[in-house]
Amino acid sequence: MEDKAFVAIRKVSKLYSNNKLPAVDGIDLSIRQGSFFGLLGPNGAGKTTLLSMICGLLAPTSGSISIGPDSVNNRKIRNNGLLGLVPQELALYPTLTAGENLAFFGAMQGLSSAVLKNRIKACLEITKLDARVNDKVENYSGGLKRRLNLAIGLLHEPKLLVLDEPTVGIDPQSRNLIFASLRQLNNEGMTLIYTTHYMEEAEQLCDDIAIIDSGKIIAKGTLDELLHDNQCQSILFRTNNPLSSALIEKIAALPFITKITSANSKTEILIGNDSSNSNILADVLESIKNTGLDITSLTMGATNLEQLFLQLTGTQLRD
Amino acid sequence: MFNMLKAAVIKETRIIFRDKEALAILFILPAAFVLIMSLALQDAFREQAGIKFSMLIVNKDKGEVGKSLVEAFTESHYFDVIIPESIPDTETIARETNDGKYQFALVIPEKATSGAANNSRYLFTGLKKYKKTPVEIKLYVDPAIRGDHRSVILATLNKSIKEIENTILVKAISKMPGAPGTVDPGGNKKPKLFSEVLDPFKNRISDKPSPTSVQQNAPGWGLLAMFFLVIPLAGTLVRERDEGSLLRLQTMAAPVSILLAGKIVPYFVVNQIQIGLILLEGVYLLPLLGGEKLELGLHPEAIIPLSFAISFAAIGYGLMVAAFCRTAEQATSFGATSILILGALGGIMVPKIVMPPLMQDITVFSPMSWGLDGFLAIFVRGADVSGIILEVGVMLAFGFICLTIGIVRFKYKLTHA
Ligand SMILES: Nc1ncnc2c1ncn2[C@@H]1O[C@H](COP(=O)(O)OP(=O)(O)OP(=O)(O)O)[C@@H](O)[C@H]1O
Ligand SMILES: [Mg+2]
Repeated sequence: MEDKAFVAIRKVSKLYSNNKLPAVDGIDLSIRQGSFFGLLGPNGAGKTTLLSMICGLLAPTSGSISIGPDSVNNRKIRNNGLLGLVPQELALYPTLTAGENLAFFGAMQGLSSAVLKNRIKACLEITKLDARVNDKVENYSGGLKRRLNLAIGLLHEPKLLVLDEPTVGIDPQSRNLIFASLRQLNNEGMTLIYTTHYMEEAEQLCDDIAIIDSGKIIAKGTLDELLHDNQCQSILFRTNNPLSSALIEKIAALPFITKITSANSKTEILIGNDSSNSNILADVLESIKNTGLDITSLTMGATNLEQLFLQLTGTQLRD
Repeated sequence: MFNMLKAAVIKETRIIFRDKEALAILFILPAAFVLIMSLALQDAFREQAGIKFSMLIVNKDKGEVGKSLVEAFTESHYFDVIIPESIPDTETIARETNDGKYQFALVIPEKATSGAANNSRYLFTGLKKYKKTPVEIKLYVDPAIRGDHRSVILATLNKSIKEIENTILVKAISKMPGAPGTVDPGGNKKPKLFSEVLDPFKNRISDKPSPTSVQQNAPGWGLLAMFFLVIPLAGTLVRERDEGSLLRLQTMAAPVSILLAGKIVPYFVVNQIQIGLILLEGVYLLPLLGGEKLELGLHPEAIIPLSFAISFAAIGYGLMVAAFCRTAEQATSFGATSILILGALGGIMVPKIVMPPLMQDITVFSPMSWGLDGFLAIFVRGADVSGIILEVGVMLAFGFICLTIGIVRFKYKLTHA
């Protein structure tokens, strides 16, 4: 992965002038061409800051970033339309229609009128906005705005598309539509960097993932690698009544169990990597037998990224 | 490149013309102001009726001249004449007028009558023994007196002196039958026997002729309207920055110069339309409503470079305001407030000619004052382009400085987060 990095982020830090702690703290990442790269982190982790530096909008305090052969502050990257940005904010003109927004941004990318016309059509199709093209953006729903925000980033067919939480505040339909478009673009060879704090989004979309918190990478790799490298087997069950504390202690004392949390009638058990889990489930069920508790639901298997994320970043709220 | 500029101009133009509030501020408000103010103040600009000034007259002369002058002012309805019981010294007179104890003080020197007679004899005989030394009548003025009042009083005084002079000259001729030369009363404007009484605050603005109501109000409110474009300009720019469009644009091929030009061009055109409409209003609409027609002077073409320079100043100021404001609301309220202050300071609401000298000196700090001076020069004094070079230069310099500060600040903010 290191050898053919398309986006090479080398020891990058960013300290905002009015802050004490760096927003990005010595990040090293290689993103290969054609990957769908997920950048996960809680609020304030430094995702937007890192993306701004990748897009050349913000100079790193130290370190360097390059896309292909060129450093990001090379004007060539802009002129060649290598990079497309879908910002976290809705960077749209509310009093203009979708078509007018697209026409303006397309021209600013340097597209000629003939090319632009075709590209507007294509992008409206990808984001299914054709029917609303002549409506003013101020009358759009949140989902439509997000889709237009994406469409603008796609106008010039960038090789690298940078998306900063592109699905905030939209319904599942719009979200699925955006997901489908992004998958297709990735299949066609576009490299994507996608930030989110929705874990299931990264799980569904991304093949490479980095989790950052407080400006540092705390885990990176493919989804499988991440889940395997960490304590990611779990048993989750519900009972008709809450577990007694004696019972919780008893279960916690079983071999290979690293963590148990039980609240009300929901119990979650994390199992260490080194276990072969087949008999652990039996052990757990055995302990519950004869306590008068009925198990109403039971799942077992790899934890999802959500659990991993919470485990790595801690459960407390940020910001 | 041209495609980019075209698209940027089209986008900005659409944004302006879809912003109803901005349009009201830019076009309707000032047009209404011009109409209302021009009509309302029409008479005020013609003459100040019912005003009385207090005038101390120190008459050291025992003869005709002193008597005639005292009479002239006492008879006038405009003056409360004060005659001191004992003659105060010059310093006291100067101090007391300066403090505003009375608004004017007139000092008629000793032997004014005989001096004038002497001069008249010299005039006709050329004999050295009648050596000519013009009689110096002095006027002291309260510095808080409005400039236009000052010039009116000055003119009245000089007129009285001239009349007295003519009487003396006529008398002198009749006493000298067969004397060479003729008297031409009123022919030469300058008095021959007396020295002309000069304005102590000369070189302020009293030497400029007074504008009519519409000549003051149309360019005045027009200027304010042009500067009001700071509100939508700074507002949209700050919003673009807040909403991330500006960041997004920075990842695109368009250079900053195109983005800047895309802003400047449409606002510049809007400015020209504004001032054009207001001048048309003054020339054609106002007379229909019973107002005075706006006279554009001898060289109306000089308006073009002036309004270009004003627009440049306004746009530069707008970009600077945008660069220093954090939110669109801040840009709007600061923009509006600062323009109103600059307008008041620039003599838009209260014409400069009625301001006391100290205030008049402060007006140089408002770009609108220079703009208005330019318009008044064209309309009232009939100046051509060469007559407004200073005003145009100052406005351009102001715009350039603002623009530079704005761009530097914007760049700094974007890169030094
Ligand atoms: N312009 C700025 N000036 C000063 N501090 C900033 C600035 N922008 C961000 N920060 C701080 O840097 C840290 C990282 O912010 P950043 O926006 O990169 O986080 P994020 O991961 O994108 O968060 P979110 O998920 O909320 O978008 C935060 O603590 C934030 O307060
Ligand atoms: Mg962010």
